[in-house]
Parts: sequence; structure tokens; C-alpha cells
Amino acid sequence: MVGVLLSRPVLRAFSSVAATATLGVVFGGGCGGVGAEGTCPALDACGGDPTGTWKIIQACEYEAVRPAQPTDVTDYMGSPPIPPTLTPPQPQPTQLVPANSGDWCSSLDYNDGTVNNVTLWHDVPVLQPGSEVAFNPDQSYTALYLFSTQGYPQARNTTHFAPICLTANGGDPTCTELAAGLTKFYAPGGGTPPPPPTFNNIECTTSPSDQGCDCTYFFALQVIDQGTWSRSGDTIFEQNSNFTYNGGTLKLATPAQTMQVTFCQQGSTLELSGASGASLSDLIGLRTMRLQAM
Amino acid sequence: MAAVAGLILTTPGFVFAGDPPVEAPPASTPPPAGTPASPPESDEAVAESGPTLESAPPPAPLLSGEKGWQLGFFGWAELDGMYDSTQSLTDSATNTTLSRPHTIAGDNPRFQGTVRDSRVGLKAVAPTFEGMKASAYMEMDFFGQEPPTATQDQFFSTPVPRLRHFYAKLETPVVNLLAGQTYDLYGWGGSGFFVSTPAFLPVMGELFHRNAQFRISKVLGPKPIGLELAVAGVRPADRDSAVPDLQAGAKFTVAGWQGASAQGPRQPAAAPMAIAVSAVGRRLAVADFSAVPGDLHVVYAGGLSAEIFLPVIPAHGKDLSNALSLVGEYSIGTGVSDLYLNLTGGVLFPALPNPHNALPAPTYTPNIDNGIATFDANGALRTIDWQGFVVGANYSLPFRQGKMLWISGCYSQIYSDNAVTLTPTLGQNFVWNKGRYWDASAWWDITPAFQMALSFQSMTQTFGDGVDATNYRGEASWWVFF
Repeated sequence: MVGVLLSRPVLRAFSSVAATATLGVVFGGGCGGVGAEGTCPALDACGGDPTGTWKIIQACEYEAVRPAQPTDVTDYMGSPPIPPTLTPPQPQPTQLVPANSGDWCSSLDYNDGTVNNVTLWHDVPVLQPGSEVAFNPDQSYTALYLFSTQGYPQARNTTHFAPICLTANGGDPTCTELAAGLTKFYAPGGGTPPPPPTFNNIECTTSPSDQGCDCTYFFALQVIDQGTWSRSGDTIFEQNSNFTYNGGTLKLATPAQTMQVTFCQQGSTLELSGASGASLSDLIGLRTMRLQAM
Repeated sequence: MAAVAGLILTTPGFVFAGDPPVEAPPASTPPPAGTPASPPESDEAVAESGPTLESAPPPAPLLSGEKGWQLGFFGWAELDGMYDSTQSLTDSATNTTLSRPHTIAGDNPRFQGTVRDSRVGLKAVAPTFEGMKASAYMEMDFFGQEPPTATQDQFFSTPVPRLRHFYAKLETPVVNLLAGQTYDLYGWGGSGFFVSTPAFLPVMGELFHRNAQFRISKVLGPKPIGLELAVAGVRPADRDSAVPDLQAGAKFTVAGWQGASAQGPRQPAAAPMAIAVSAVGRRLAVADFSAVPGDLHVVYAGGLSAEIFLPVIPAHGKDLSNALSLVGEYSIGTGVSDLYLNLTGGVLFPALPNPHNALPAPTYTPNIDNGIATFDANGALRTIDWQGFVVGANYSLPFRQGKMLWISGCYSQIYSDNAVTLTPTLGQNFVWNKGRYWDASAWWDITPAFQMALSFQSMTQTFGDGVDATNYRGEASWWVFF
């Protein structure tokens, strides 16, 4: 039997078929991935009327590590602190692909009892209760998003400062003094509604590893997205006019194109999904939300 | 007569006669331990019956007018089709950092077709002179350094040639000398310990590197127990160290215990059981981590490796039917990541402090490639630790003396205990310190010269925040060896 199977004519035929099939499979085998939806596939898009004020009761958000856009140079060089972002601070904020692994000292400048600059690290925050979206009858819309890293393991809410970082700019703070300086540095600015402090409950203790300071905290972010909206079928079109992160703006992290959202309104519930894998309000990672009428 | 890989061209002025034949090419398809790789039978026949000076046209010397010169020309034409589940990789995967999940590149597929692994080589062998044989070896493929502005079309359709091996060798009754570029002695590259896979070597965690070197070796045996001792001075990873890297190794072979050795994409060939150990030591002198640099920082680095080729079910002479063989490698080292090829784990040097957000930011210009060493939080130079192991197996089915159909698979791991901790928190999400790889492949030599393979490959890396990135690759490959 084996001899027959391995006879030359059979082998030749088999070879041709196998080679052709392999070519076909390989060269015709491309198939699609999941696009940009991450772990959050789109919800139903049945249309309806989204007009009203809605509170967010559920969201699907994947953790985006790298932003779609780097920080704008003028934002970066403005008065510190630079406005916070949803994605963690980047090793090189003004470059999309970092060429170094970041600053061990997190840009700390401590002198004369004052923190003049620092970039505390934070993980990707998750959407919190109290977030809401309003599609007003006058075709304006307002989205208020509250994010936080509260509840994360301590290691994900910690920045370490080696001794050389504490003294690099002429200061020599204790960890308690450093915590006080950081709290003051991140005091909230003004706005309506008032934004939260970007870093909260800051505590610094002496690091057992090198006698530097380990500073713990949690990160909070309030994003306000305002503009005008229109509807076509099951898609909402949002044209942004005001976009703030804890009261500040970031030029390259502000939506510059019309955002499209698919939706399904049924009774007192509304489901929103970024169209074609996009993120809601261009907040990278925030893919879908379920809302309830207020 | 030992097998001859490739065509032996006996040009006018060249004699293919009494001297030993041209060896099999090393490359990613080196000869198995102790034995040159088997060539396509038809090519061997051509070589064996090649014309001699006596029967050739009047002399028109190409390399030399001396009688007894040999010139070997060899290589293969190759096509690879690759479907990847992510957009992380080019055609060559090796130890490349994968794209994180939940990104466009990390969640979407890619297909590539490439001929860049095709290669050609030449070997010239001088007439034996008072018991000493001199030879020169050159091999190239098409993985040359593309300019960053190269388009996809240019990358794949007009690839740049790359030098793989180029060395001179002198074999004497006392010792053998090798001067030029070939596999590093560390890991005994090209000596029969590579895994059988259509994936472009190395697989993740496998030692695989070529380097300019001066090597002295002594072969004792080979029957019944062969022993090869070698030491080499190698181009340093850090030229500013001002001293060459030092590599040394020993390899034992058991001539009476033969198995099927399949190296990279080449068909299996009979080779003896082999065990090898090797070591590398180097000095690194790295530029001071300061905007106004002071003295170089000096550290010493090194590594140890052990390899084995184990014929579990031995071959019967040249008949490899039902032969089952294993290859294995374990390596541990610090500051030697470059010897795994493309291995950095994403480790970069830190940024100089920029507390005033100045632009352009102060830049640190390292004098050594990324991933070998970095500076810790206190400004001390530290080398990056890596340890890895690779296990591979191949089984030859009992058709055409075991050289028609065979299957292979391999598994490898690599781990660093300090790649993440030596990276500032800002960058830890971009650094991976654990890698796992496995593949399974089926091979078919439709003719002794025309070969095809189907392979499935899985590659996973764990980033500093615990996130796993995985790429699955399906690959189909075709070769004609000459």
C-alpha cells in the first residue's frame, strides 16, 4: 500500500496538489483581525433618539499604554505640570516611539522647599461612577468622564525617587517634605465643574532599598468633552469645541476630526460604541458605554 | 569521499582532484556536528564528475594559475510566505519585541512574502602545501541593512545583499586557524546544534551570532571520541572597550552514535552525538551618563553555554529512516544579549534628567548598542542578565532513506531577572523580560533538491506590567538547493 502511495505518478500528483494548495492557503489565507476595538467589541447599533442626559452605568475600556499622538511641544514646554493624560506618562512625551526608557528622576526639580517640576507615573485609570453624557435638544453635547486609579495595587500607584534625584537641583528634602511639595505642586486648578487634584493622597516614605523616597498616591482625571452633535441613522456625529483634562488642554490630545459613535437607544437605556473601532471622545481605550437616563 | 554541498566549478586553472572537497556551507544551515551537510544528490553527482584541468579548455585563470585550486559555488533559492496574527514582525522574527495587545499592530494580522533568505556562497581551496590547506569562504543573503526610508516594495522586492560569512582558514597538522567573520564560538554556532525550523534563525533564546574573529582550534579524534578545543578573539560588542572579546569552547563527539541532524531549513544528515560547552568574556567601557561626560564606566560581562545533539533513535549509516534526534542548549550570561541576535527586551538607556522640560532635551549618546547594559537609578552601569534554553526534535519518516519527509518541533524560553528593574517606571511597559517560543513543522523534499515545509510558530513575551503579547505565525516555504 505504501509502495503504491509512494509511486512516482502518485507522488508527482500529490506534490502538485500539495504545492498548489499550500500556495493557495498561504497567499489567500489573509484574514482580518479585530481592528482597533481591543477587548471591547461594539455594542448594538439600533439607532433611536439619544437626546437627554445619561449617566454611565457600564463601560468597556482597554488599557492603552501608548497614546495615538505624542505630547505637543508647546504643551510640554508650558508651565508645569503639563495636563495629565489618560495614557501613562511616556519616556519621551514629545515622540511617539521612545528612543530611551525615561528619566529615573521623573523630571523632579525640588529646591527651596518647593517642587518646581515632576511627572509622577500613573497607570491607565478606569472610568468611575458619576460620569455622564448629555445630548441636548439644541444639538450641543457635554460628556463628563471621571477616571481614577484608586484601588489599584500600591505598586501601580508608586513613584520611586533615588537619593540623587532628591538632591539633584539643590534641595535635600525628607520624604515627608517631598510629599508636601508634591501635594502642593498638583493642587487642582479652577474650572466648572472643578477638576480633582491629579494626584491624591500623596504619601512618601523612605525606601528601604536605597534610602530614597517611595511616593504612593492615586491618580484622578476629569475629562470634559463639549461640542455639537448630529445624528444619521444609528450614528451620532460629534464635533468637539472644548476638551479639557483636569481643566487643562493638550493640543494633540484634543479631537480635531468629527467623531462618530454608533448608538442604540431603547427606553431609558442608551448604548454607545466608537464607530469602526474608534474610542469614545477619542479617549484611547474607552470603547463602549451603557448609559441610563437621568 | 565526503559529501560536497553545492556545485564544484572546475574552471580553467582550477583542478578538482586530489584535495578534499569543498565543505558544506555553514550559514543558518551549517553542517551537522562533525559531518558536512548532505548536498542534493544531483549536485553531488555533478561535483563528483566535474572536469579536471587535464580535460578542460586551455587555462584562463580566474583566481590562480596554480594547479590544484578548487572553487565551490553553492546556495539556495527560497520563497517564504508568512501569515502573522499581529503586525509586530518583518520576515525575520528572532528576538524582536512584539507589539502589545489592544493596539492596531498587536491585534491585527499581516502577510508577507519574501525571498530574502535566499543565498549564495563561494569557497576557494588552495592546493595543499606541505601538509597545510588554505581556504577562503564567502556566503551572503539578502538581509542587508535597508535605509529607514525604504518602502515596503523596496524592502521585499529589491533587498540589499548582506555578508554572512567571509573568512580565511588554514588547516595544519598542529592547529587550525580561522580569520574572518563567521559564527561566534560562544554557543558553537554552525556546529550542529541549531534547531530544525523554517523560521529564520535564531528562534527566541537561541545563541546565534556572527562576528569577525581570529580562532585557533585543535581537533583530536574524531574516532571513537572526538574532541575539538577552540579559542577565539572576537570583535568586541563595545569597540571602546579597546580589547577583543574572548571566547573559548570544547566539543565532544561520539563517532559511533550517529543520528539525523537537521539544521535550520536543511534536510537531515547523519551526524555524531555531540556535547559542547563554551564561554565568553568581555570588557565594556560605556560612555558616562551625563550631558557633560566624564570617564568611561567599565564593567566586565560574560556568559556560559552548553549544547547537546542527542540521537535518541540512531541512524543506520546514511539511512535516516525513523531516526529521532534532539538538540538542546542552555545559556546564561550578563551583558551578552547581542549574541542572541536582536535581543534587547526593549531595554534602552534612560533619559538624562530634564527638570525644566527643555527642548531639545539633553541627550545621552551611548557608545554601545542598546540592551547590553544600562544605568540604574543611582547612575551605576549595570549589565542586563539573560538566561535561555532551547530544545528541538526532528523525526525522519522511513521514505527515501529518511530524507524525503520529516517533522520537527522546538520549544524555547528566555528570561531576564533585571531587564525590568533596571528600567525607569516610565519605560517598563515597553520592556519584556520573559519570552516563550515553540513551533511545529512538516518537511517534504519533493526531489532531493526541491524542498517545501509548512510550519506553525508561536511567540509570547511578557512585558514589565505583566501583559503578554503573542504572535502566531503560519509559514510555508520552498527551496531549491544548489
